[in-house]
Amino acid sequence: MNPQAIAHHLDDEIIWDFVCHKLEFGENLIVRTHISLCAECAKTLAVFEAAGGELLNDINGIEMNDDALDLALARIELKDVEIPKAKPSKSEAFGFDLPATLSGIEIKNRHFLGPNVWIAPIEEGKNKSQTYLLWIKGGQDILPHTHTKREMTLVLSGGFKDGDNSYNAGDFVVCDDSISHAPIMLADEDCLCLVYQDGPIKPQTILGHLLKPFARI
Amino acid sequence: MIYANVVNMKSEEFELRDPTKSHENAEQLILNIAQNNCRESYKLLFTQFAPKIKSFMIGQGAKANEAEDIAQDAMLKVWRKAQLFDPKKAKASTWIFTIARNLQIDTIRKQKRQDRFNNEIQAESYEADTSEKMISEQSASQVKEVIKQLPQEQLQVLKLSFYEDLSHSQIAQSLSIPVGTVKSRLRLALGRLKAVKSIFGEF
Ligand SMILES: [Zn+2]
Repeated sequence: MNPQAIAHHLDDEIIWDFVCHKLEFGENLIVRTHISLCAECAKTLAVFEAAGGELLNDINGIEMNDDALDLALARIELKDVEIPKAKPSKSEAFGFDLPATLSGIEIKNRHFLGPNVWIAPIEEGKNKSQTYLLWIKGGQDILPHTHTKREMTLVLSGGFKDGDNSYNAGDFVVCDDSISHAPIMLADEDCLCLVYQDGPIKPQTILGHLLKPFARI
Repeated sequence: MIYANVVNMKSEEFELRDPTKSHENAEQLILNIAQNNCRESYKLLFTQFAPKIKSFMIGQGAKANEAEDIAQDAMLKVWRKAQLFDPKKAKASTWIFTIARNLQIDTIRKQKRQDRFNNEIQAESYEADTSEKMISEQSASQVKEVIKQLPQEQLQVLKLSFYEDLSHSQIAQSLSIPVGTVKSRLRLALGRLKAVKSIFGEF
């Protein structure tokens, strides 16, 4: 993946929410993955984390338990038995190379929603929010649509066009009900995305309108 | 700054300082731990930061005992990882904060896992993606300066969003201002912080 090619970035509020730990698991995963691929957003994160450090310095502490310091001093005498973690490496799923941030994350079996689309669930969170991989075969048609819920998509492989915008590997897009979409898949390249959506799977994702006939599953 | 008067001390003199003196420079404390496993320095660092981490975690919605545990675990990690600390790359507070934040994510993930589809996530200790990129000392002091100079109303929103587990609309409620105003103040504050990036270019 060529980081130079990333054109669609995380916005500041999302990076700040990440620093403040306000994101759901799936959002967090998407943000971390984008940051691991994008030097620009990694820099913004570094600045915001420094701001977090300053604010932490400023905070009024809350007293620890009476025995806290004794406990802390005893704990540092224990041998560090942590097994050294293997360096996170790229992982692979369904024939695609996935970024290192996804290694160790369990991906469930994919199910085809038609010959040209499949999803592979990763997690169901609060309010039935969904995190999953979405694959769409190149050349697939998608009808124009809008969204009713907040949703984040990170392109992992391939790409699509939406109006004047092109989205390719590494690009991030967040959608809500304010924008109508008419994505056009690349003709010759299959597209794999990591998607988080704030509710059950319905025909709501930017690439998801084609799921409509299958939404009853 | 507490250390303004000793900035020019030579390093030998620096090491001779009594580490039990209060207000020891946090960066130096971590270096003492890295170099000599200095327990006195650890005591001071613990006393300085553990209550802050606890306070932050409680603001984020953790129960007092969970916050206490996270503070303990974070400080233990500080001890074990002290060798990795590079004062040229990060201020002590930012480094410790990042460690605590990553721990918090791990802890919350562990709790959530039980009622999710049994997803055995093993990426818990994977921090490299978020904590390796730190900013230079120069940029860090610039960040501090930007925060100092933020208009009060922007600083207030920035602090509330950081310290408290509140949504934008809850912040709006607590300040009796429209949600849009909360968002625009936060956006302005983040924009000013982000400008540090362009001032210094590469970190
Ligand atoms: Zn980016």
